[in-house]
Amino acid sequence: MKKSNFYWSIIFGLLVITSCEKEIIDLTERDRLPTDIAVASLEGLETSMLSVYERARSLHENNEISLWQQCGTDIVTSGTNMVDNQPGGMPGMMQYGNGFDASSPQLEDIFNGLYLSLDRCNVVIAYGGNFEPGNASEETRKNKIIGEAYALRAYVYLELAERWDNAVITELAETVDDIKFTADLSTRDELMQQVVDDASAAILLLKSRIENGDVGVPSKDMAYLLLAKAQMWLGNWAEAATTAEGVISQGAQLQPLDGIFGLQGGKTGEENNQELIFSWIFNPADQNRPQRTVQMYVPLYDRVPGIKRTLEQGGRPWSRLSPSPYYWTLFEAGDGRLQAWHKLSWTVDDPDNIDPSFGDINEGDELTSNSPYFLNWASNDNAARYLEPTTTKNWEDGTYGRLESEAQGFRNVIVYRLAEAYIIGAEAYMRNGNMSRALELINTIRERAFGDSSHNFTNLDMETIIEEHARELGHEGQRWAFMKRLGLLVERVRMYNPSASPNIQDKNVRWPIPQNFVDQLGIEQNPGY
Amino acid sequence: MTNKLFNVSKLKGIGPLILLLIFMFTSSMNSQITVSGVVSDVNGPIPGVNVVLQGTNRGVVTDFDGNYSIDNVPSDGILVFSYIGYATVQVVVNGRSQINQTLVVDTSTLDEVVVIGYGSMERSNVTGAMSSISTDEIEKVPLPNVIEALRGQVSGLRVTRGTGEPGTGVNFTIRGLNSLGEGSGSVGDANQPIIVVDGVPLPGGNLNEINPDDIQTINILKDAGAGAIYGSSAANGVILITTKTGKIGKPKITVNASSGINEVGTRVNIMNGDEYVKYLFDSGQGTTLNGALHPNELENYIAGKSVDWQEELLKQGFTFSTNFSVSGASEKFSFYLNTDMYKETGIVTASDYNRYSVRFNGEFTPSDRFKIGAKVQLTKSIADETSVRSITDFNVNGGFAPFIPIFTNTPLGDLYEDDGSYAKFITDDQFQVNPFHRYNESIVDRKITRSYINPYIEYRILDELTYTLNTFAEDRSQFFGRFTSSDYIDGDPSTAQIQKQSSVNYLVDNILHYKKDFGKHGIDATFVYGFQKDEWEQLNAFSDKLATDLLGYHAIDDTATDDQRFSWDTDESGKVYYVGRLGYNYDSKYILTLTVRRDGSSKFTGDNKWGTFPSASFAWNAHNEEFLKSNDLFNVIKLRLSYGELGNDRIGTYRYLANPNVVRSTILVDQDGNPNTTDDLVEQNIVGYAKGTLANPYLKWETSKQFNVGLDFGILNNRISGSIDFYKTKTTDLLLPEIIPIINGYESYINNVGETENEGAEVTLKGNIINTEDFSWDATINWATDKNKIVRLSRGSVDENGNPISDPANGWFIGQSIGVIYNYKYLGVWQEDEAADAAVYNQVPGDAKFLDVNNDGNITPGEDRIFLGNTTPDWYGGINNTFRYKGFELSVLLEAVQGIKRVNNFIGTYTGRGNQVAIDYWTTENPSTSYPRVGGSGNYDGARGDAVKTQDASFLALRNVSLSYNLPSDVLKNTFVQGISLYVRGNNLKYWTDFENSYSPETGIGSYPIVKTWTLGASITF
Repeated sequence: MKKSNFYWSIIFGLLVITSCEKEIIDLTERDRLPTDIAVASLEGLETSMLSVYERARSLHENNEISLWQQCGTDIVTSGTNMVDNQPGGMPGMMQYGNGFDASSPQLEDIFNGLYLSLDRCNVVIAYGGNFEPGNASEETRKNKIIGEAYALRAYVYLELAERWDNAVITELAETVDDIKFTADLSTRDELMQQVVDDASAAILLLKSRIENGDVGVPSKDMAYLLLAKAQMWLGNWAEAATTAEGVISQGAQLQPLDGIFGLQGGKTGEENNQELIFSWIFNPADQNRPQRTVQMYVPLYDRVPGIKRTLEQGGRPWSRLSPSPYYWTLFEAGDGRLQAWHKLSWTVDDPDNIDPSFGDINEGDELTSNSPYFLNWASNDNAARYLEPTTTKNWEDGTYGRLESEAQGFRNVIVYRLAEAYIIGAEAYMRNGNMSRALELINTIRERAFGDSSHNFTNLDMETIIEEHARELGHEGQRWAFMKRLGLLVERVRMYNPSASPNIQDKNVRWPIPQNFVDQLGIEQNPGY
Repeated sequence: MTNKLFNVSKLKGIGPLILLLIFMFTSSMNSQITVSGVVSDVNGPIPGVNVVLQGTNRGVVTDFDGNYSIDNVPSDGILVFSYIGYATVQVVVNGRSQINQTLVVDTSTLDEVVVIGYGSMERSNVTGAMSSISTDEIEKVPLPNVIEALRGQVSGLRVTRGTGEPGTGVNFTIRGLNSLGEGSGSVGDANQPIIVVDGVPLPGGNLNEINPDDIQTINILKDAGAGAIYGSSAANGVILITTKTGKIGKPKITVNASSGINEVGTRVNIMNGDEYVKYLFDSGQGTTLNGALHPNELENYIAGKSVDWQEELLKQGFTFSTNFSVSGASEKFSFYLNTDMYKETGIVTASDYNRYSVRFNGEFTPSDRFKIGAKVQLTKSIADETSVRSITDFNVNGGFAPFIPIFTNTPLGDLYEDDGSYAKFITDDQFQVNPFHRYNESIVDRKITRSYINPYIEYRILDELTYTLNTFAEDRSQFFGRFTSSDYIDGDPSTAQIQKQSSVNYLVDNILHYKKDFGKHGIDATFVYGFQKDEWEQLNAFSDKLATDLLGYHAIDDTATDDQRFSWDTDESGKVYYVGRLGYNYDSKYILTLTVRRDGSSKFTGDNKWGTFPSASFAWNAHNEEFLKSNDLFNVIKLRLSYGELGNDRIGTYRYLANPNVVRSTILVDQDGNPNTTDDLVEQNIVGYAKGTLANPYLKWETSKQFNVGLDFGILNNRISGSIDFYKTKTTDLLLPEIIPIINGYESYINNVGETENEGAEVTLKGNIINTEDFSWDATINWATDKNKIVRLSRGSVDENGNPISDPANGWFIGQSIGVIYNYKYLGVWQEDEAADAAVYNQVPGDAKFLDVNNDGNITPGEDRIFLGNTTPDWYGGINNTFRYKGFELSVLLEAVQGIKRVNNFIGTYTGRGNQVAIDYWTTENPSTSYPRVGGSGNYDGARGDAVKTQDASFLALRNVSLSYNLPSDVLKNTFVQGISLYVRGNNLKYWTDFENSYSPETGIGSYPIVKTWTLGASITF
């Protein structure tokens, strides 16, 4: 009898336990929302748009690729400390060595970063299109988000077309069942046409840079600039000239030379100056996501006895890149850009460590790479470059709490600025036969550089534009594609970039498509790789 | 009464048992007497012997002095005396009231009772492939981690250790690799067997927190016949650990103390000052001393001073271990209490590991039908990980590698400043850090507290039917604190991190066990219903710019609020299961076991939550056949066959859900809405969500179909015994990240896509080679080979004909082993007379020469890579020899791993100013053929560099040596001491390998060096 009770109690016990099975295996995640709930709302779309920025911006967070757009041109050469980098990373992009091939992980990082950005644009365009606005204010917000997505999609397709020539025009995969394992490559012209379509769509939806008030948000100005660039690639000079005017006519004004790349006033101050059309925003509040461009162009000045590492002099130096000797030959006396955007000498600020055996110098003296004290100290060719002049367009001071020891920063990474529209416009007008408007545009830039019209051009040819492009936009990431568009990349790199000239080959006018991508889709690799 | 019984009998399957019970009850109504006596063996009385009246459930157990007394025995009754390890004896009472019985040790050792999942069984009835290791074999290895102690001792169990850091675990697999995991980095995890301690599968399971002294037996389940009872997570094998319990008899007190010294096993040959200077010249980093060296390097060089960083950093370490145990049992109560302390001072400053544990296993038997017990363990470990986790600025292979400075620091640097303090940087190159300075300016602590309780109840409902309720609850909490002072790196602020992690795991198992013999037919059935859940939480706090350096990480809150950050993570998983196992044996000759397990898991969704895992296994004890019984050679011939399906669910939780990413950014907000005024713009930091991972609602178990055939044998009175197994495993629905084209917006997602095959063989041989009164020699050999190959990967990875294609991104290739190395074939070095040939490849003499597979004059990843070898061995095994002479015992274990290749990343890039491993590299004066020229040639970088550094990592190792001496018992006569044993034990003593310049053939650069250990100790039993 006792036994029977025991059986019953076991069975009862099992039933009781069975009923709590759900608590054991039907679990919901406590600390994360499912994506569909998180992203469905208008707020979700807005933050999804931020993820497009975040994705594209992240390329500048990686030491190996943060300056991928600046490498490998005629106006840049390797710094003294390039050897510390991975062969598939910056040295490969800079020097075109054997390590930069289809298996380079850094190449894949850039490539995947761009495609993921593209996908996030597709998400916003698709989900945004499905969103039914409840009122006029929601309608405005919806249009703004979709317009931004079109502009950034145009930006990504432009980058893909410029670097790789051949790329895939993608569609959104919403579920596992939508995944595609095959695709066709589109040619550069097809991709440029896509840029034209997307930029045109964006122009209709976006406000101007001035109206936006935020350099981190795509604007009509940016969409026009993208359109102008695509038209240049397509050889549509007249359309390119008109769209370059479209950028200029949005109302933003060129700024004084010393008010463009500085950090005064921070994110709402100089970093948001009107001349900047678009920047990737970095935020000191998000300490885990710094950018890594600020130290790359700083030579190893602090190794010279008598010169201390300070933020004024460049902070922690990495010396990965350096302006090429050719670049310095382009500047004539009186060009304000030379002083405003470069550091040409280093100040003796550590008198305790001056080594008198190398020469007689005093606190406050300015040293250059030609100073006898320095030349006596420099014991080898590498060291003799430790005080070479450099560009300061990427530098960061203490505005965002940067310390001398930090090889990272939180200044925005500038993507486009207004001056480029003047140079594109000048080239487009010149090619289209309107020399006077071409001169007007390029001389606007000249007058700002020299402070008056005394150095204005009176006639214009391509060589002049190539040189002015270097002086005005040097080391901002536009040069590689510009030289490639002109068909001069290989020739000029051979002539002017000492670290790349032995290696560069014809195949280097386009980058290899990552081997994994080639393998997965069974598409054709770019020639030569 | 009858009525009630009748009601009960309506319960399915119970009726016949009840009737049987009534029959037995009524059949014993005869004249009754009381029988008593003493049970003994040659050494004297035996406590704890079961004395049972045959055909009833009535029985008693002998007391400490071997006495028993049993009432109401029919004068024609039969008493059955049984005790583990002794032959069971049946005695007819024949009216006697005094029966003194002598028991004889049972020689058939194969008939021990072994633990299988959810129960135990005589070994002769086991149908699956199983290896057992007794506590003796573990004791001989002076290591705190029991799995590492098994290294080289079990066929098919492969243990590797990649770091010598005190208190860290090992990687281990049973029968090689089947799974690919969530990426090539997690193959080890995905193939790790589950560990079951006293019936409880450990979550995560760092076995360092289990004291090897507490372990009674370890059984390793290798095939589906044995493992299927653990269903969804058993595909890679199961390690069953049973902890000690008290034995009937006087309380036994054991004190064991040992101390040992640790030293780095193998040193890496790093360049000295002269070699370093030559290297700088050879690599084009200078042509004069002045030009090549920093001023202080030059000074040291001229003064003839240099620093051997390896010598400075790697000192002697110490271990100290002591434990005190008391165990005993009476008829009603048994207990085992052990306290243990293990302290290890690492071979590097500030890398200590201390473990304290207490275990209590107690069992109360109030009646012969009822047992209640609990196993309780408390463990606390305290580790100083400063030297292992403080230096984190050297990034190797995506991970932080704290021991890089040993190899890269210039031998001409300064260890000390002029004032005798540690130099912060050893030259004016700030990448040349002084580890000693960093250790002084940082603190990293980890403290783990683990408490678990494992209460159980056993109720014998009927003689044949037992119900067991096994429950378990564990609370594991971890504290991790990290601090770097404001002087740690020049100008960097101080930083602090405190991480609190806690996990709770609990389990309930209801087990019904039925065992009954019907004449020659025996039935042994087990049914289980149970569940297990794991909940995990982690709070992480970070801050920097602390107000003081004096409080370490405890000052984490003494900072400005802007400098504080935190993170919070949770995770949980659960499993519900139904298990049935039916064993049938006929006359101990033919044994069949059928197992089925149905598992429900929280890791999957919808119908895929549930999976069913059946297996069938059969054994034939041929030696019990009449025609073999008379043979003199074989004592045991047992043939085993098994087939079954097992699962693997070792992926992260919630992979079936799409998880968004958290997005943070800054926007500028125009406060008045007027675009013409810009001074009213304010920054606003915003946060939200965006698309993250791709949901895969179709996810389900990975399924392994395993077939095993095995033979156990014992010959010459079991002086030679062994087993041979062959197996074949086919794993389908492999859980792995399906790499998909990036055009889909994802790089990969977890999917059931692949298929692998694995086959192999295992041999174990045990021999008692010499056995005289004074001297004996026992040898054990184990050997295993396994070959796995990838059959199929992603869905999309098929060519136009539908044939599967490879995934080079993860290093996975169809038809090749999971760990295959696919790279350029390094052929040596281009010599001066080959300059023209080298030029074709854009190379010069001194550069590495590679096989141009497609002969196109270019070395490209597309077509010039080939399969160079495997990171998994062709075969592996061990030989253990034990010699006994009088009280001395010497045991020597050799382990061999053969046919394995690895990239030796101790060999650096040979660019830049860091020091390098001294290798025979090519120069014009030294036209080496082994290593190419140095300098920025790309010969040592990337895929080309890996090709140059791919080496044979096969080895033979002298794994363990143990010499012990037991004081003869006559010396201890008339003392209260029962036994004294003294021992010297060594572990990891020597490697014979071609994989030079590495701390062991299993390690990579940056990890804690592998140590060898010598331990001296004594054990006293009272």
